Amino acid sequence: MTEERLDVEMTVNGVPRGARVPARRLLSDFLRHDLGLTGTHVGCEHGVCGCCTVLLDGEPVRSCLMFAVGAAGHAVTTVEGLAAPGGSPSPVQRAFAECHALQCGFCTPGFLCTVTALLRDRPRPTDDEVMAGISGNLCRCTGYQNIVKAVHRASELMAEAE
Amino acid sequence: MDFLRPVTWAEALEVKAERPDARPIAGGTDLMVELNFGTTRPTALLDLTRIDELADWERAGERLRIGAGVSYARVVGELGDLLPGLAIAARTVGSPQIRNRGTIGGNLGSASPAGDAHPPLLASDATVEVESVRGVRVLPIDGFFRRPKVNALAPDELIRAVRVDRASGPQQFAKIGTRNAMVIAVCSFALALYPAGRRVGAGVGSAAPTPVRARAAEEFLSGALDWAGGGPVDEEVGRRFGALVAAAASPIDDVRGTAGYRRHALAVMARRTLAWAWHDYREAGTACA
Amino acid sequence: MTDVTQGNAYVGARAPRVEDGRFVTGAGRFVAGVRLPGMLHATVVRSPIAHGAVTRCDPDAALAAPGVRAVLTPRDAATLRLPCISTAPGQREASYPVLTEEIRYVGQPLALVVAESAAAAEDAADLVELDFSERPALVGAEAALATGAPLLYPEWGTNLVSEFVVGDADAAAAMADHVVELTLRLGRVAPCPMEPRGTVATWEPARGELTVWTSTQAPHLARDHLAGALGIGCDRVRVIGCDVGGGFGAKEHPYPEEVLACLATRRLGRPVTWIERRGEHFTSTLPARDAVHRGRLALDADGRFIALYADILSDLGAYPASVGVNPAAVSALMLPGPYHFDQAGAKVRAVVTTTTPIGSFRGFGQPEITWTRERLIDEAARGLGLDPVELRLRNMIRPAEFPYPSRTRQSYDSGDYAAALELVRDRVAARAAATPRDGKPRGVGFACHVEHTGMGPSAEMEAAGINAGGFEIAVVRMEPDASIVVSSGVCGMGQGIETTLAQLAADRLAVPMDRVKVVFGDTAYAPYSGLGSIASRSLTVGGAALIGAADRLRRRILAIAAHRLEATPGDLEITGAAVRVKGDPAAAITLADIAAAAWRGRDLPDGMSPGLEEREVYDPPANVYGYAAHAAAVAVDPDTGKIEIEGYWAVTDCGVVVNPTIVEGQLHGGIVQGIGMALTEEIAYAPDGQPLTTTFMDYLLPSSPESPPIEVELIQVPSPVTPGGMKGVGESGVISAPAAVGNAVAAALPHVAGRITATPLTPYAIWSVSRDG
Repeated sequence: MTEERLDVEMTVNGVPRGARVPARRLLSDFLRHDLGLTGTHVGCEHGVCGCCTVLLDGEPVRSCLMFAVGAAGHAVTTVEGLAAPGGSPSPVQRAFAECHALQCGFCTPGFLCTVTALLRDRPRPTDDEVMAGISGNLCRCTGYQNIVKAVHRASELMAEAE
Repeated sequence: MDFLRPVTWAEALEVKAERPDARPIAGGTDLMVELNFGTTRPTALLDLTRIDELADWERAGERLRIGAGVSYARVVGELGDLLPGLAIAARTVGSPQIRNRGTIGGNLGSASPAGDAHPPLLASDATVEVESVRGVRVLPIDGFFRRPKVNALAPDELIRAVRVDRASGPQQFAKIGTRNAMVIAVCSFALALYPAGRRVGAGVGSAAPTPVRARAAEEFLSGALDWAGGGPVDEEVGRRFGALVAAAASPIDDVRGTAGYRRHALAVMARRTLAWAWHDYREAGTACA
Repeated sequence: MTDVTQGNAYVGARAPRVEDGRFVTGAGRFVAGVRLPGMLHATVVRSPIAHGAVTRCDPDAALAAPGVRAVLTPRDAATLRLPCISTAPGQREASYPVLTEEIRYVGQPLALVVAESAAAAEDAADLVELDFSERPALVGAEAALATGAPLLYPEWGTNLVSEFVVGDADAAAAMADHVVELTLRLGRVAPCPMEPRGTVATWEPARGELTVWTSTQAPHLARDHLAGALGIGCDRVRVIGCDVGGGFGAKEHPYPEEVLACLATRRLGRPVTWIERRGEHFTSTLPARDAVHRGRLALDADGRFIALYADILSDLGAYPASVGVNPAAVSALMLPGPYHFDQAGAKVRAVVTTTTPIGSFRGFGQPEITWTRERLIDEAARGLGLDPVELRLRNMIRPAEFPYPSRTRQSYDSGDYAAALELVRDRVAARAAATPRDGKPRGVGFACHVEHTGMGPSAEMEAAGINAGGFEIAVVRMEPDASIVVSSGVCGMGQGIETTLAQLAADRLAVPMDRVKVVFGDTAYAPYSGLGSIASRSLTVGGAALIGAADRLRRRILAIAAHRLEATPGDLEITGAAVRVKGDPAAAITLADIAAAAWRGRDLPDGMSPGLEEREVYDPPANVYGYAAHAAAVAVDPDTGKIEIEGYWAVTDCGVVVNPTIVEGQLHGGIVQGIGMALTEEIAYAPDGQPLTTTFMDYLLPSSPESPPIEVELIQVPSPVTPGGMKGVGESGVISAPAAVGNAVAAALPHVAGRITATPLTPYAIWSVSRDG
């Protein structure tokens, strides 16, 4: 039994990337194993925990619930691609560190991607919008208290930067 | 496992005719979980995400045709005024990430008794447009769900779209879960009022082997509401309506709750959604007057 | 006691975490990111039945599958066992098998398939042919003791593993004006770190050395136990703890899968990785709690506590695993909490059932007993018509009474228990008064606990049957360029220990924090730690060791400087990267000069050996006891039974606070874990032993909407025991949270308050008690 392998190409963090992979390769595994981008974490493989959240054409999706081939031709942003080109952390990354919005750091990449998209769509979110916006990412360490603060702080940092 | 990736609808139908064993996959929010857990090992997958015509909805007068590939996020964002019941339900699906990927067609394809889109589609008299190389069939949603996770599709058919009239009156949806986000409903309920026809639609989820319509409850309430005067709903009417909705269910005991609790909760949701919807109806009446 | 205010005042500062730079950029090194050339992937074949035996295990079809390199079956691992860290009186086995044909729970490992890819291993796992003989399942601790119950170990003649008494046995029968009795249950829950367990093992035949990367809270303990199980010398096994994506007790000891991965790499000569799937987590990673307490509180007519008794029945699952009965023993030891009792005692019984063995989870027996004690107190207050806060205050241990010997052999070191409870009461009273007029019943509940932390004195642990030392070692080195390296035996799993140890070192040595590097987790260079980062001990015990080592190094630096400056050490201070004569800033020598000289072995005082490195072993003379008072405000939907937590308050004393931001974060997380236990989380089994909650859609961790705004306040009563004054706090948040929520629900539903006895309080559960009440 030989498995069908496909050439999968996509833009990852602004750079064209590709690999020849089995059709059933998950996007999360493609990013982690084939491209070496291990910042995207896998916490449940059934689309609940949100650790594997990446941006697909700017929208947050579960990379464990997609085949890599399904993302072919699209643009994917992972945690490794959130910082500015010079490497300076994004407002969301800065705010998470500033507000102690992470402890073990395992869920953090997923939250950072989710919040990046949330603040793009709603630059000044209400508390309820923040709660709803991050409701698809589980964190076992922080009780979400400082994550909510960090979203508001990132919103401030983005406003200051403008 | 073969991975089949048609780019047109016609091609998809041909592939499905050749490979009836191929499992259709759109957002993947249900099927991918089964694949990752190894609970299903299909011989082939039929990826529908590249077919543009599935990803749009269109409106002709009062009639809406929602492509099977329209995501929950788009239902929330674009159909909130036209189909408020479906939009409320879509807002409760999974998580933002799941709503970006999960589709109406996928929900119908999975045919889970807990599918969040099903009760509002039942309440709003939707039909399901299915197609194969043999032609198109339009199936009433009532008969679409056959058994848990089994629908009325023939092996060579694919879901093309959902057809439904835009809301002609207030619509509501309620769901009870142990957690607020990312939860399988303990039970759910959708209500639609049709002021012109002086009737109501009522759909029940997670409380029977398939999503079901509460026919007796619909008939009772249609006759019991003061459509003309917009007078308040008698408490006894609410209770009776709730009891009839609960009677339409045939729930089970499981880790989320007993059958008794589900019947009770359905009655509560039926009364509450009725109160909300009737409030909207009276407000709308006042506004017009 | 040592001066805690010296140096750069990093102690007490909200220093940014040094860990975060790597975590916010995706550069954390977690075990699943470890890739070695030629690495093979393993998957575990698990039992689909709860009880019985394997009658046939045929790996041939799996071995013939594409990419499969090995299938390990019980026969390959017949002699491999892992030891119990603690054993209880009467416990017959002090170890457990890694792979066995005797099946006692669904999910028990039966074979390991090793293949070129994870997908190939998983495909082949389905091809391992297994036949079983089945026996009846046994679910529930009470059922285990029933006449005619299926026996898991027929040779024992009983399912009872251990039975013993702690404290005053006669508290059970104490006479008093008022007696409240309740049977209370804290359900079975899972620690559920977001990072699943995982391991990468590689055997290098030429060196005869095994290297293991693993997600662990205790690298040395993992090393010792893996070496012991495999029959390899400890000197030939290196365990490298990675960044750990949450532990909470679940990762404090090695599991069978880690042994099997090591066995596989030894057989195959190639690296082998096993990464836990979430779908197997709920049956393979040890869950916790699952205790039934029959509690009895006796009071006199004035509300004075006369006696507290708990009959504790613990469901151990299939066998006493790593910590076995110990959580139930800790429940008994911490029974009295912060109150006086004339008598307090507990009977502990632990039984086996056909479910996954239980283990450690943040709190370790303390949430269970706090649930019992604090629920009893609230029902007593209700019965007596007393304010529950007032009743607690009347009975609290006062500051003048420390050290306070509890009726259950604890010696509380310090605290101001009443101050914390009064403060939390004031905070609740001060909240925005605008209660929504939606007709929902609302209630506020309080709970208090004393937390056993800083484990612990090695001699005391020996007496308690815990087979590990409780000391910590720290090594502090000033490098030739005056940068500082701290090596510790504790390790990081999100609790910020890398930051707080750096703060302590920077403070003691009066250098900027960015000159301090903390290293731990690798047994090749970290000092030995028998327990690792468990039991709220990392900062208390590891930090105390570090303070000792840093103080020694400071004295050494000052001695060298005194020699060079021809001054006395007492006249010197370290400031601005130099040692200066106080009052004569021109008379100075830079730390870099001192360090360079020390490492070149020149210009040293007579008799001083070269180098700038100091080591301290700290074996605590006693345990130290944190304390907290919590309050929760809830609203109950009377029709659906759904509970919403509208506010949460915690006042916590953990002694000297090194980093308040980190402490608050620990408390937030613990509290929400406790809220999860109270409201949504439960590992449930069907009567046939099949697990009902095996995914994140069945086992419901709190998501952001379940997480109420939490107000945390810290009061600092320094521990007189710990150098530096710290008390542990890692577990504090979770301990009182279920009880505070339960008491709030009971206050909201007074007509059925006596029936609020079991977690989780799901909508269905609340509806059930309300309907029948």
